[in-house]
Amino acid sequence: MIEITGGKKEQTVREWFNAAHHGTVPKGKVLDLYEVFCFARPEEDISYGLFNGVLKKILAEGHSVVSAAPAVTEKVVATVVRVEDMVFPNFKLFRTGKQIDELFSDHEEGGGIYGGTVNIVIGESGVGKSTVLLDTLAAITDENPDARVLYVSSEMTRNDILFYYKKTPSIGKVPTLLLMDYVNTGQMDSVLEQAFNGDYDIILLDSYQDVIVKLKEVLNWKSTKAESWLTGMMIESAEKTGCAILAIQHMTKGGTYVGSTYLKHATQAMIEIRFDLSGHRYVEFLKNRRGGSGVGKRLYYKLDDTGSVVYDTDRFKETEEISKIENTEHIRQHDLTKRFEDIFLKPKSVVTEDSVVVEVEEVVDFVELERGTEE
Amino acid sequence: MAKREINEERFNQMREMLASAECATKTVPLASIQLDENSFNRNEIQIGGAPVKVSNGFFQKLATTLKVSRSLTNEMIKNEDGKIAVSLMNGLKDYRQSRDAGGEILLIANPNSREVIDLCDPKRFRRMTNESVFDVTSNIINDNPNLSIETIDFDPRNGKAVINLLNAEEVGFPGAGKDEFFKFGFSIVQTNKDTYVETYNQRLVCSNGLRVSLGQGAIGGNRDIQFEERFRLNGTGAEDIRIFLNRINEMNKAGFIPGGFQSALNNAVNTKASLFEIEEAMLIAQRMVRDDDPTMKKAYIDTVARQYFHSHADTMARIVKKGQDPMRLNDKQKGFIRTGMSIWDVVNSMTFLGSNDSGIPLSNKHELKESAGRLFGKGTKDGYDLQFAQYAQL
Repeated sequence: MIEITGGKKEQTVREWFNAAHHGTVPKGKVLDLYEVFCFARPEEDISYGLFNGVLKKILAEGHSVVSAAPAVTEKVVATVVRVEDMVFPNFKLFRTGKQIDELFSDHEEGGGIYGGTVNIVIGESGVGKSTVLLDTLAAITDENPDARVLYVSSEMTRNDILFYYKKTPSIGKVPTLLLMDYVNTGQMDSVLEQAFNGDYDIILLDSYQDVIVKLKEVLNWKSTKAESWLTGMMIESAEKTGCAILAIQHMTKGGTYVGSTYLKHATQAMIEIRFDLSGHRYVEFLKNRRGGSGVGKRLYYKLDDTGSVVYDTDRFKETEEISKIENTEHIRQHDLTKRFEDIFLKPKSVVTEDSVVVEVEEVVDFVELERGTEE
Repeated sequence: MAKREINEERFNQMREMLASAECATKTVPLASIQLDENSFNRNEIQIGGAPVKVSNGFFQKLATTLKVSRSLTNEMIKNEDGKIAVSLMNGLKDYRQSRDAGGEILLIANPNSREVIDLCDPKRFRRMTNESVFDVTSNIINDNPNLSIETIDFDPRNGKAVINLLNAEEVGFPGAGKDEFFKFGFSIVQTNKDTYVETYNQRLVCSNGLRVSLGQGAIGGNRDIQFEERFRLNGTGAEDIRIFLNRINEMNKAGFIPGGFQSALNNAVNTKASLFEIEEAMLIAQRMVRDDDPTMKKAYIDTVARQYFHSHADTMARIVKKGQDPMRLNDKQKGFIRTGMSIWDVVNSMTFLGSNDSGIPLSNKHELKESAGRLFGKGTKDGYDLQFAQYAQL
């Protein structure tokens, strides 16, 4: 076994080699070894340099490098199950009683947010992402008093929340976890795991990007590790516990989505909140595996005197009507083009002197070919 | 569907008729349009090698598109210099295509005559199909029970269709007379290239129970009057349609009364007509008097002056009384002299004569109403002669 000597930090490293590797130094890269150490002892503030120095001392003391014992792995057997025989968590449906329900899903009349889903909400700073989603949580609580909702805020301090609460009293009933309280504990990942695997129906994470930044800063994680850990945890949580997750994601000022493509593809819905050219705010689903018919429709909203979100239902219906007109108009314009081609550009049957009907050479392709090169 | 002057059956018939008469359109590369030396004689072009009949005015329109002088084109066609015109046009066409790689042109064809009648830049084609306009009209009527469709006009020669909608609500204006009411409405106009909306009004003269139409347009068919509302569809995308419908909705909220109509009316009611204005109006009406019997004709002319423009004679007498000779005054001088009739009184006299059977045989009543419209609209353009007369005392 390795002798426990040196300063407090050195002793910690030596103890870890004894505990985790039975007094040996496993073969491999020092950096990998250091990452395993950091993961196992997240509370320790030990730099890579110190870790490497202690390791060299241990090797100089004559402790040998041993190949890591191959992990004993059982062969995984792929199990194929008929869908009807699968065991599903209780994927509940939660409604806000507001127009946005119809955008969240279209599987049942009235729509609503399905459990077991991860919904990413993007939008530029100040557009009202937190406002809309906190209002959604508050409305769900009003409509379903038994629903267990949780607001996980990584950005807001108590001060911010107080200001928000004064502006929007309806959020008063929303159970809230302030991640800022746990930054200095070095256990932010553990706190998040507890929250996401707790007994909640709907969790709002505000925001995904800020949590990534904090995981990197506090736990010294790399971006890729932090992203895959958080995304994986959200998806697993939704799948296993059946909760619905709403995760706010930032956009750049130029309107570009911040975040990995994996997040985009692995989640059920991508919702965007934006300003239109006149400065009015609206919600639009860019993707939704639970409600394809609501994708691409703008739902405008305003805040009432109490700070609650009021959706412009009339405008939404009007937009639906206009979309119908637009689609029909598009088809009709296409028909008029076809009529033109039928009159002028399609082969015509002509009667020759011998009364034999022949077809005039087809010429329509010429025009189509020229246009085709541009398209 | 809600009530309307044109019933549902007729509406649907018109819809079907206009849908089948809809012009066929196609966007083609400019380069695919070919002209040869016989094109002008045959009224024919080739599109991608296919012969296509065109209407009489097509080549002038093509020339304008290619920025060739219309009169030069006419001259060359007339002088049978077709070869030169064709070379010129083909050259310019190739030039345009080379300068504007995506150079495309939208051709508009009459399906009945089977000829191309018009062309335009595809970006400038801002028109809904007739069927869609009927759909929109149907929605508007359903959403606004006060509206009815007065008439649907269609000109098969150029494909222009106009749907005239009228608001049943009668609106009175202070100063216009307690028995004077107006009805306002709007027209949805379909040309070959545009869909647009314009307001129009009708005036009710309740004293004699007749409804007097001042014609299409704000008043008397005068398109230059500033208080007239007119706007176009900017495209056929959802946002364009929404803006278009919202503007109709805003008009509806205002009772289809064009902004500025009230102030125009106030100006007309509160401004005295000048001797020049009343004389000009009176002479227009008197010139329209028709009767083979010279004695009767003179009697009618006198009646017009006495009954409808009585202030003219009064003012002339006043001038004489002041020691001046009214016959020696020029138009500008007459424009400074106040009469006892307001502009509105003069407009009323003209529209009454132009719309009713006054017993005076008049040859062109429509022109009389148009002139009334011009006089009324003068206030919003240049101002009436005496509209700012009070400033002379400042």
